[in-house]
Amino acid sequence: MRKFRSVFAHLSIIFSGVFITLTILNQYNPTMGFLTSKTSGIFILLFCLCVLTLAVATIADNRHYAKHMHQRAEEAARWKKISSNNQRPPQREEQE
Amino acid sequence: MQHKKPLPGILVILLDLLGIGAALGIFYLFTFVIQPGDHQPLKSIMATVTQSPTPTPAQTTPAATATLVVNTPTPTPSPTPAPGDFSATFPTGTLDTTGSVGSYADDNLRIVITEHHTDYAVYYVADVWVRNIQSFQTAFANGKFRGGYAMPSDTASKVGAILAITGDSCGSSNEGIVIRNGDLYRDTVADDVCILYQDGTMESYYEADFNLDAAVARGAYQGWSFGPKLIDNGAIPENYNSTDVIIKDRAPRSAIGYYEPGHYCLVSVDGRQGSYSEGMSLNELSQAMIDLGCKDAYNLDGGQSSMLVFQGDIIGKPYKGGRSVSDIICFGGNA
Repeated sequence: MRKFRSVFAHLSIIFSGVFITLTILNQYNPTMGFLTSKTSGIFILLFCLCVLTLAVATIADNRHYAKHMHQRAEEAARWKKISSNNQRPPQREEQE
Repeated sequence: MQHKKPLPGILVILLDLLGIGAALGIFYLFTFVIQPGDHQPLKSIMATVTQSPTPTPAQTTPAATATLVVNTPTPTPSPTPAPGDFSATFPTGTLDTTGSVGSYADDNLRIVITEHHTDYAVYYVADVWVRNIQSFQTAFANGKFRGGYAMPSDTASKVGAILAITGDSCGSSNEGIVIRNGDLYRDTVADDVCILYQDGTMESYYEADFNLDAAVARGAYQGWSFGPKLIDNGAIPENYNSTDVIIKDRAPRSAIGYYEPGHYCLVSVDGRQGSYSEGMSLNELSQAMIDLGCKDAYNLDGGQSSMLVFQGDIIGKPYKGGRSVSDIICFGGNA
């Protein structure tokens, strides 16, 4: 997942760089159609797909991380409760 | 699990920049080099008007160019001249070449080029009279719409033009009205538009005001989409339909002006050349066109593209020697 996100992050940077350049060029010569050509349209679509994929992957990863942290917090709370009751932590064999 | 050592940060940045460069290269390739095959006109607008005979290139002899004072026979004007026939107003007799840097006259075309100076710019004005609308031509680089790019001087030479100026760079954009020699090539409105009608009148329109169907019905002969419009009701427009950079910066410019049917001017402003000539802002260009007496005027492709060609010679000093463009406006050729 990390590699997947990294690839799309770099693609997003590349497309951002392209569109920053095209926007500047468009200021100097709007008639060249830097932002209105068919190729620009395709690039915008690819840019959107990259950003969308990156965003979905990031949100999914964040949720996964949050879920993991929540589980760890719950486990820690359970251990804290056990400790406060001055009980020996249950052993794995005992649980089974 | 063994983790790979990450690349140095500077290398990652460089690789991203390389990626941006590669993507821009792909963009340039697909936008400006590999042109789609829409070379054919969408429709012909010419059929509606009866044309009088057009001079062939063979009729415009070099001998006519050699003499600055030319006596041309005065044809008897028709009582009701056909649209596009300006015989009634076409000047005859001696060509006034006082202070000119070039001139030409034959039975169908009269050109006088003069050099003008301001504190900040040097510019050239080609005053043009045509007897027939068909002497007012346009030509694409390599002979076809979106057929690539060529130096204006090369395109002018190919079509045998006496006088030529850079057009509206229609091949480098995917939008904008393109009407050439009576054929409609593109029908999308993207900028201010300038239309030369078959009756010789030339009108420029703000993008929002232009109606293609009306222009076609009226007999559009040439149509350019670059702009902006330079004269609004005889005055400098309050707002130009362009960006601040283009409006305010002094730069090389090309423009076309209209006096009356059959009488036009082409203006080429040298610029970006320090003390020789800075160029003009659009305000200054508008004022220059008004001072020339134009009723209407329209800005064409400028900057490094700006080039005026007369009998194969480049007039003035184009910025960095000029560059290849997709189309020209020309007189006296066989485009």
